[in-house]
Amino acid sequence: MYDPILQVIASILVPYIHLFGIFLVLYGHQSPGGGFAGGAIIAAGFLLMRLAFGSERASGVMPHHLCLRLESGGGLVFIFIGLLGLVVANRILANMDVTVLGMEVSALSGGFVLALGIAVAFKVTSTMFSLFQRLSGGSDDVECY
Amino acid sequence: MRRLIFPLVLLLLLGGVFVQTVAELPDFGDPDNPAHNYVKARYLELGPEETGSPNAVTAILFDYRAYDTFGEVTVLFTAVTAVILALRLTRKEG
Repeated sequence: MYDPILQVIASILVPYIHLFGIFLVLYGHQSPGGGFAGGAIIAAGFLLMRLAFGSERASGVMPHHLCLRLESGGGLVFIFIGLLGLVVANRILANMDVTVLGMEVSALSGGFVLALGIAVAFKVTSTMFSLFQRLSGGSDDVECY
Repeated sequence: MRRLIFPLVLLLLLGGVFVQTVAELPDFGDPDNPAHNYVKARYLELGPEETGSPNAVTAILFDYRAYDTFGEVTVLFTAVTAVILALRLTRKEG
């Protein structure tokens, strides 16, 4: 079932897919990309790993309880940043000048945009991976959370 | 045969309403469309300075319309919760 050619290609490709996804997340406010696209690409790397090596190996890297933690963690960070905006700028989810706002090309130039992007990326990654694992009848460590 | 009459009439009525609605839509690409108001110009002109994000899509997603993105996050959470709940239930029964 698990093709050795696919395994070799996947083990070469997966780190670059993850690197590209992380780049898209971190520079989503400077160039095309963003939390949703970057998170989906990181999840695609995990899915390739799961398809090439099987459910158990993939669960070793990304176990179900970790998926659920990242899932709720991403949502909670989003809510926390929203409430922080409410406290600081009297407006929910307000952008704050924590870093240099403006046209400067840097990963740290977007203020809260970057933090929200990272939270959404975690959420999209864990959502896609855990949905795939659940729907494909994957790992049975359901009792872990 | 009789059972089919009511759904058929309902479908025809609803279909007529939908077709009429589509016929009333503004022309595609018309500059006088309601969507082409001051909001678009504001996002494109002041977006980079106001949000620190030269990428207009990200500026709208995570700053101007961040509350809608919060709704999307909720949708993802609900989807995962529903799938896990449904698949757990079938597993216990089977």
